[in-house]
Amino acid sequence: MTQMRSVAWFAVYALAVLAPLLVACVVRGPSWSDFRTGFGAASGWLAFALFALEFGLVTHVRAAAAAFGSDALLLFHRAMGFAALGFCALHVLALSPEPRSWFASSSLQRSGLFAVLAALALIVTSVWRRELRWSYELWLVAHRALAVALVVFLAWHLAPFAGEGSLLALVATYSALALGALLVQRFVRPAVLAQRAWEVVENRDEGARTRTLVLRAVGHDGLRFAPGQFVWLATERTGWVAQEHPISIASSPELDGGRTLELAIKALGDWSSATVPALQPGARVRVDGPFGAFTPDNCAAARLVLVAGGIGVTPMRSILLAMRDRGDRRPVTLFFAARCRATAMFADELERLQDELALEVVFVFEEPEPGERCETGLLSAELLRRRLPADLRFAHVFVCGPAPMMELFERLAQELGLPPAQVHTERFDMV
Amino acid sequence: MRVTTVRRTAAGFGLALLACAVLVGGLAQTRRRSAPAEAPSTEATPPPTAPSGAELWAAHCAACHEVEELAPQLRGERGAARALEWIEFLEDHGEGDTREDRAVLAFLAGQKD
Repeated sequence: MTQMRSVAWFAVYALAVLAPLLVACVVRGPSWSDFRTGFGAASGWLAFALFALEFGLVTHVRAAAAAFGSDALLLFHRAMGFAALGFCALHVLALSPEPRSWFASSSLQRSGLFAVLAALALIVTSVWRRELRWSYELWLVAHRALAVALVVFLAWHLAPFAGEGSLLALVATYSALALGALLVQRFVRPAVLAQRAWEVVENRDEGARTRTLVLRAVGHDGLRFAPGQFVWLATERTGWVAQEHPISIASSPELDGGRTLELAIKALGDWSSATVPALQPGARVRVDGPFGAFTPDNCAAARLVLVAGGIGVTPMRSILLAMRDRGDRRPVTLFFAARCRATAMFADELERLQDELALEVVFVFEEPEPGERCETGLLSAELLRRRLPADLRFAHVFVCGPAPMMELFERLAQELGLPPAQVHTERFDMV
Repeated sequence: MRVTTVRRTAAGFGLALLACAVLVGGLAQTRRRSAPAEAPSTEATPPPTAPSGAELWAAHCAACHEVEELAPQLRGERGAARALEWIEFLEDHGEGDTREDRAVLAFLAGQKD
């Protein structure tokens, strides 16, 4: 069912990408007099559609996020950004190969140049955000501003070709939908969510530079979510930037009927190091969600294998607590990798859960204490082969952790012959 | 969904789009080739007149440019200098010969405000 939904969503997306080109072929095609003009024009229309639809890929649409997973959508968003830039380059090389012409004074050349510069700035600042030492908040503001500028420059560039009629309507519609998606996400949705407030009940220090925020619904019946999903948490505005971050839910969906949420947040940046620890009981926050496809509720698994690195254990805690609350006795193996026990949040609680579930916890510490019962070193293919259950035919594997760990497991899953449908991943360091 | 799945999907989709662009270009080229060829002139048939600047503009330039956008730049003090720059530029832009390029420029320069 999930696969059918994914295919349907992808088909809609593909049609939306091709629609402007198809209409342009009908309206403008007769004036394309040779291969270079036709190819260059087609590349331009594809670049426009890809850029405009980038907004849709990252809008918080729960149905799409449930079909693919939010991290998959983000990865695809990045890939399509590169594709759009590539088609932009082909368009320029085909129609205006002489660099002198790029700086000509016509509005066509100017708008095209500005659009390309905006697109390049978008991609460069996203790929090299950390090297540029930009905070996530600064990057987010710049990314949105550049995206708006890009749409405006593209519409300006295309207006002379769109003429009147269907093509102009298409350009206007795509541009309006792109900007509208941003406005809805940035202003409308927060205003709606403000009516469903959450209050901080407790701000607990878990050690390992991690804090657990316990939130209670104010005046509404809380959140219905599946274990393993995440929410966008918005705290108060600092300056003119709204602080909104994706955080996995750490508690069971059965806790207080969804009226109480526990969110575990590790200090990784300005917001998580300064704003989160300062949240006092009584503070109001905004919760948007749930999102994500990273949940065993969507699959029929006879056995679960959970592989977590660092803060990646948070959704695993939600999954295990849900199993406990539901009396789910399916065998589960949890691999939890951390530097040492002191940095392994919830370690004691996870060990206790072994008495309540058919759970085996395998700690993997780089620097274990003497006498510690754990595997030593990094999570490796050899360790996983040795400790994974022998029969994985009906097992589903959930992996959440730093990128190197995720990539290691994805390679190992291929070597073990695990079907892709049985491996579920959630990346949390996308930008 | 695995990273490899996403990357393969994106790559496949990108290649499919590239194929669409190539197809469109190919169709445009096919349309050009199948346009009726000019009959060779003989002593009994007067030679065809050279296409005018307006005809050349409509056939080769109008797909991407507007007259109102370029014509004003050939007026005024810098108009003559700009025309010389554009003649040089047109040697690499488009497929006309020098005579045709000059005809297009003359057409643009003759546009009224």
